[in-house]
Amino acid sequence: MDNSSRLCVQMNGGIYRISGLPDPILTHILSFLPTKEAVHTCLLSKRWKNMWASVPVLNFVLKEFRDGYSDFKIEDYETYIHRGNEFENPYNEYHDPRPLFEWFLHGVLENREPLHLGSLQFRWAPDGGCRQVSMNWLDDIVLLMPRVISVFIWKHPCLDFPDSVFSCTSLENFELVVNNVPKELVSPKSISLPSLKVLHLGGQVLTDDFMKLLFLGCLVLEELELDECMLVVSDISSNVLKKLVINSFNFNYDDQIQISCPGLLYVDVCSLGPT
Amino acid sequence: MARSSTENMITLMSSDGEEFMVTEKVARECTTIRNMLEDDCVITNIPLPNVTSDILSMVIEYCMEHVAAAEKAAAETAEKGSSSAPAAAKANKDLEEWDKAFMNVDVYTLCDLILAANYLNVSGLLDLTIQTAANLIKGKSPEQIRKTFHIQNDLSLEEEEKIRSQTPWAFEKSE
Repeated sequence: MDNSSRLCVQMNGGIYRISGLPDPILTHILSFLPTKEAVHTCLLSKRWKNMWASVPVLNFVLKEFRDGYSDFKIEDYETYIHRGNEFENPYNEYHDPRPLFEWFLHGVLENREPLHLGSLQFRWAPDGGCRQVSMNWLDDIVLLMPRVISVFIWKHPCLDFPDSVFSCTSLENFELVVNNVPKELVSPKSISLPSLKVLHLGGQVLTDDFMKLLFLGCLVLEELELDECMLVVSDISSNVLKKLVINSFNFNYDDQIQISCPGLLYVDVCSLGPT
Repeated sequence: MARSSTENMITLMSSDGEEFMVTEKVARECTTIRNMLEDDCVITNIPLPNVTSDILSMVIEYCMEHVAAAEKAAAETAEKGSSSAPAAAKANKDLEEWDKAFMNVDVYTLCDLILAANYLNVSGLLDLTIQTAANLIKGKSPEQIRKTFHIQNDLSLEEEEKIRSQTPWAFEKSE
């Protein structure tokens, strides 16, 4: 009955329950949830059993893969770190979320419908003993032709970020923000992102070489935002860039960054000296 | 809402036969209706056999509020030459508050609004209602979600066990 109910959805004065909504609407609703919660809706009823598998979004919040995470709030964590505390889990005994996450990730990738991916979101505040963050699983994500990749990591000791993301032809919007002292996290040998329109990088050391590769490989890049990056850059030039936001510091304070972007409609540059 | 006498009025008819007179501008908030008007510009009476009168009146209320907010913003920009950022931010916040209050409905109305917003293609209302439904699911156990949305559990205990055992990666906790 549940399967057929979607065929006879009509708003002719009856009362329609959520399970009566068409598939695309249900998957749209599930796309706003962390993927773990979306998968758990498979227990609701027969109608929901495989619904999560068609959701075009993957949204991983790593704290969900830790026991005792329910007490955990990212704000508390940041306050804790800001008070000068080192890596010590202020909550329960430490559980490394990585093995559970990897198991879950493979389960999702093996069982979801073979649909192109709209967006991937990844959020993590590493703590306890895990100082190494490997993002090499993004190689599998890139094969799903995502349009959006958004990665936020608070306080990373060490990050492995695969170069494959920099040759993802479907990618339109890419965010990689690490909330820490800038490091050289990405140094791809080549960049080819022919669909990329919006790029947001945070907490990284960026060099002239990277910027050159970037503008050569992103021919339709319209928006560039560099947050709390360390720039070892002498010039930024692009004919297509429309919006530029730089809230970063220049490694060589005395050197000026030359910006030559004739198409800019919006600029907000706030560059500080080295701290 | 202030309207000039020259503005075209459109009559929308709900599935239960009630008629709603709205300005063309408000009607055009519904992409489905906008497309009809663009195909046939003399149309003044549009039957909507998929939408009941109580849901249609809510959709119209939403469209009128959003048209009024957009008109107010445009008028302010025209007056001052450019829009002031704090005023625009306040107007946005007011509209968000209005949306939030508008979403204070029971789950049946919410589901009907989702269907109507989807059928009439009112993108702002569709986003708002879908996000609201997602927020109602977030952080809840399956049992709590069923209760919230009055979902009948037609899975037997055996079937539920089977799902759990087929997808251990989704439910397993660390030692």
